[in-house]
Amino acid sequence: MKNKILMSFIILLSFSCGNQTSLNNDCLDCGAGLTNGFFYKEIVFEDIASNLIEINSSASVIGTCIRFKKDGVNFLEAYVVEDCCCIEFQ
Amino acid sequence: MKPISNFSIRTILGGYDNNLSYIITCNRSREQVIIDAGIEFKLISKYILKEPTAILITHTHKDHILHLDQYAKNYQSSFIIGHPISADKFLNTHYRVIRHNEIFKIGDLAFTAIHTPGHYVDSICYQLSPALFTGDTMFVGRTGRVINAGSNVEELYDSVYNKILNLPSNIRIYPGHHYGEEMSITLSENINISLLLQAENFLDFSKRMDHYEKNRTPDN
Repeated sequence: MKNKILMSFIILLSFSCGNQTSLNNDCLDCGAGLTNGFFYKEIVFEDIASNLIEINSSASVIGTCIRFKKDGVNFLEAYVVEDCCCIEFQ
Repeated sequence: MKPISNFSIRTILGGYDNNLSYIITCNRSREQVIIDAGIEFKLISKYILKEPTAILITHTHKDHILHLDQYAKNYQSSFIIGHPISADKFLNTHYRVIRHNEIFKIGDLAFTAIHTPGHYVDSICYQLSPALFTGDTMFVGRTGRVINAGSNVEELYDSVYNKILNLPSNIRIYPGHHYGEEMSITLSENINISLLLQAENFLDFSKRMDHYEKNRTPDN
């Protein structure tokens, strides 16, 4: 009985740690947010056709995630990021 | 992986027609956002810790932006976020346009904008998984209506069936009005109770919408 309780506790603990690690490591480091004026998105064809590549030549692959600022039409800043802010964990 | 709840949602009922506004708070950073501006400022402000980072507009029908001037006056650093089509309605505010599938981050929270025209041309749902703030595109028990200028039944069908209902069925919707039995419901539960969410195709949806309009009573 004691062993069963101990085993349940260990399993529970490892699940909790797993979730928390994903949140902290992946999601808190994904860059500046709205307070700094940034949005995130996956690059689409229309972005390539606009001034995106002039702003950042490495932002040239459709589907890649970028952190960006726009003036409504044109990109002002754009940075390639590893994912779109870990939305699957939110 | 199981979603982690790192935010809280406060629901505020009031406004012109049982409007629902929501205050979302990031548990770690304590940053907040408000969904829509249809509720009197004094009813909202008592729950605001500091100036909210953003006020998200689901669409610009008057009852959803009625008190926006007052919010903007009191929260001058808050971003007001909505669809580009309506940018000219917000010339004197700290307005930021957002397009379909764009994401913004507030504290630990990532919101995705889903453009859902149909009820109105500038309608946006905001997804903060596992929550979806649907404005007037979807209520508990039915979809939004398409009776006003700027409405389009084909676009509503596309928005509801090809965008919202493609999301995970355990997502919980938080609509712009309290018209149903409950204030909030999961997508799968909503499909079960709503004939307008059980259409086979667009023609079927259109017929169901006609039937709804002909038979609707003031309380449904």
